[in-house]
Amino acid sequence: MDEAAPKPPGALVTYLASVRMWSRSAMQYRASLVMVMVYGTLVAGLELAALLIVYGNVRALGGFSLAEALYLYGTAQAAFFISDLLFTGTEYLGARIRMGTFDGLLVRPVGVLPQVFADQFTPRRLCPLLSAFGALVAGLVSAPVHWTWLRAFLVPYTLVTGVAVFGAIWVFVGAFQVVVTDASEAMNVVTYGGQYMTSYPLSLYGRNLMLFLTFGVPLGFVNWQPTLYVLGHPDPLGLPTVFRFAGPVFAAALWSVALFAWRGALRHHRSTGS
Amino acid sequence: MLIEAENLSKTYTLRKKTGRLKRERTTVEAVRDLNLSVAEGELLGYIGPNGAGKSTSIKMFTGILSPSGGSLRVAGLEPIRERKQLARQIGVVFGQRTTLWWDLPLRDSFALLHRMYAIPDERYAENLKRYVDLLGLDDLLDTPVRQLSLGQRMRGDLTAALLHDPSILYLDEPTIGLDVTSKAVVREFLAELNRERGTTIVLTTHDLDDIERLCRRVVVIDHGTVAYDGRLAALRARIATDRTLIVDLARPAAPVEVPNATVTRVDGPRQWLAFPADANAAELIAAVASRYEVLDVSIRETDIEDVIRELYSS
Repeated sequence: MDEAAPKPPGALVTYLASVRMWSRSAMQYRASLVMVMVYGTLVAGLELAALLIVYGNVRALGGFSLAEALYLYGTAQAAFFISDLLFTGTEYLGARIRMGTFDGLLVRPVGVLPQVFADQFTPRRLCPLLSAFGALVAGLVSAPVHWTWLRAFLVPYTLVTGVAVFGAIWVFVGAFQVVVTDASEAMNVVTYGGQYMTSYPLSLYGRNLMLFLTFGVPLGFVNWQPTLYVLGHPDPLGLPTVFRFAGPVFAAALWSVALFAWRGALRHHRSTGS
Repeated sequence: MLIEAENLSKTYTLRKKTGRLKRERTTVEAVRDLNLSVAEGELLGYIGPNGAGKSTSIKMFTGILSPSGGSLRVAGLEPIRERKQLARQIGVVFGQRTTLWWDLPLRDSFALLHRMYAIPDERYAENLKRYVDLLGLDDLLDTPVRQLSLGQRMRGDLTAALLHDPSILYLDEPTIGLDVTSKAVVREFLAELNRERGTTIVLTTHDLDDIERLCRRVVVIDHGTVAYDGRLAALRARIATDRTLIVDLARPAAPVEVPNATVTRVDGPRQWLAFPADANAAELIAAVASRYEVLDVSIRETDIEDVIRELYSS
């Protein structure tokens, strides 16, 4: 191959090309896809209904009214399911390694991680976003927010940060599965557990758990900290205001640790082959 | 040299459960002190029993596994460190594990590779046409891969591995499970690819017919290292395995006694006589027929399988 030959695509193009292939694969079974999507949308709606039922019995949870809780729930769900849509391919890595098909990704002239992120992509993952954004918008409209430019800006800022934090966690899921190939369930504690915890006010969980969820696994930055600012709540932990905006710093730190773990995992795979 | 391995080794650490919490660590030398040079344009048979280190070494050559010792260069590159550059120079077909997209037409998998390998449009069109014609895939391009037969899928995988004009093609059991016709198509295709394009081919197989028909050079791997490296004919000669004369006598008899042959097995009137590969079979048959009443004779030539088995056991 001559030197002047065009270069293989970068991470984004590799990712999008793989996503396109998986989506088209899923479309081959159109009837089944439609049914699963209707079902998925309904289940997500039921979960939202459960939140409404809880608020039928209490006026406030952890200091949050129904409208505020809806906004918080919406941001957590939207951030989680957008990250699920984009990155959850790492969940299938253990199965790939066991079947020996991971090697097929390693002999391509493109990045491994983008191919892994796109693995088994299906439009079905769009379903929960309907109720997530429904709750988010309903909460925003009905909550008594003193709108300023900064508060308005914090809404998309929250989502992007949340997607980034969960995204880094998906990278950990991938790294973990390379090393422990038969334990995909174990990581659910952090992924689906994190989704669940961030869907409700962290003030419900008590001081120590809140501290852990802020500085240990920085789930507090998915939506809790910026939401405190948007809704004008004081921080129960009494952290300085700057923390409401510090999400991207924690997300970036988490990503660098995650990518470090991923590289370590690849090195492990290269030395053991399993 | 396209592949240059010097004292290449690969050690695994295995943890075996020995108690509720106790784990015993054992190290396994999958490959040790492997020396191999493959020149451009060779068609190499890479064989050995299961667990001998074949796949481990191929995985090191392709940048999937990192060596634990020794040095390795493939196409002038260091496989792990320069994985992406190396990927553009090699094609890999893992026998039973297809890299094609199961639910999509063959055409779509090829189009994705067109992009991933950044193959110039003109060359892509040219190669696609060439391989599709050679492998008879014209009518199958729009068929989802899951509907293809094993042989058709293998031909699809071969095309996929070659669209970017790799200088080395690694094949792991390319004919396993194929019917006779498909096997012949694949073999003929590989021979032509090697002859016309000068593509270097490293062929791992259990099917020794593949080796006999395709490979000038054979490398036998055993216990993680090279047990034999040379021409196939020389391998046969090196292990002087006897040929076998099978005679059906008119009636059961004591073991036949003739010069230059020894009876290895008796089953009723049938006897098996081993005789040296370079002895004259006609004389032996005449000698037996002059002393006994013979109904039928047949000669079993040493096949490569016997040769390899002999090599492993020695």
